[in-house]
Amino acid sequence: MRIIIEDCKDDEEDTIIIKCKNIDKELLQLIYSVKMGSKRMMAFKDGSIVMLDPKEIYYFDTVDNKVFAYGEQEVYEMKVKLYELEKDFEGTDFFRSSKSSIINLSKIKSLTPAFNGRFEALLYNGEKVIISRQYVSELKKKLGL
Amino acid sequence: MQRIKYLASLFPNIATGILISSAIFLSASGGSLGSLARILWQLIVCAFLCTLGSIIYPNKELSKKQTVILAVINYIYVNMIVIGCGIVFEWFDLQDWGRIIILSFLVAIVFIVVWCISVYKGQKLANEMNKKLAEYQKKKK
Repeated sequence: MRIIIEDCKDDEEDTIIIKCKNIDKELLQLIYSVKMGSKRMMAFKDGSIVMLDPKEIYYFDTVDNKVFAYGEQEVYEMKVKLYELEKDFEGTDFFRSSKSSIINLSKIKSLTPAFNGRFEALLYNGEKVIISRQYVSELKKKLGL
Repeated sequence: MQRIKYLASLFPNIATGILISSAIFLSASGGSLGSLARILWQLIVCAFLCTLGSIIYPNKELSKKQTVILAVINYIYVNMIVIGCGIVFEWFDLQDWGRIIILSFLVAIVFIVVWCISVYKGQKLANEMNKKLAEYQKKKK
């Protein structure tokens, strides 16, 4: 694969153009990692602003109409809606797991069946998050099942 | 195995279709087949009323406790319908406790079998997803 870097004008936005015959799995992975790597999210912790790396986020959850991002130990408040995050992270490791949460697939240690067609995701930080029945098909699709 | 699974998934729909079309055909034939048609219609009514019991499950996320409570309510409802149909359609008498107990037992067996199948399917899917998850994460590293 050839990599060409061109200068752009001052008023132009940095742009990555991919020229390919067809988009295969490897290329998709590359696009995902570029997408994930370039993103920084603004969050709040103890009244101060923090810039978060999405790769460090285990999951997002909504409590009382507020969205929180959960790291390995830390919890941050987000000022965006869950559906906005879902849209932002479309095609990345994140997937909608229930009406109130979004999980980072790379932070799931294992999955076990729960009651009523639901699944429980055990994360690498020891937390357990429920995957609703209606979102299991999305997870299956993401895993290539 | 895939073909057997496919056939098993088709079977309930085909059985229902045959039951309904047979009931219509036997009703139209009349004569000695009339009593057989009546039983088929009774079975269709009974199955329809039992199916209505599923309305109690809301289209929202349920806790473990809520799911168990609703399953118990559904079981009681199905029992009442089956026994009620048995009495109304004169399959047996209200005093016939032996048959009523056997019927309740059979309904319980159906519930247990359905539950076992869903547990088995859930575990199988979890195993498949865990395998794929491990592959996915390995590829990412």
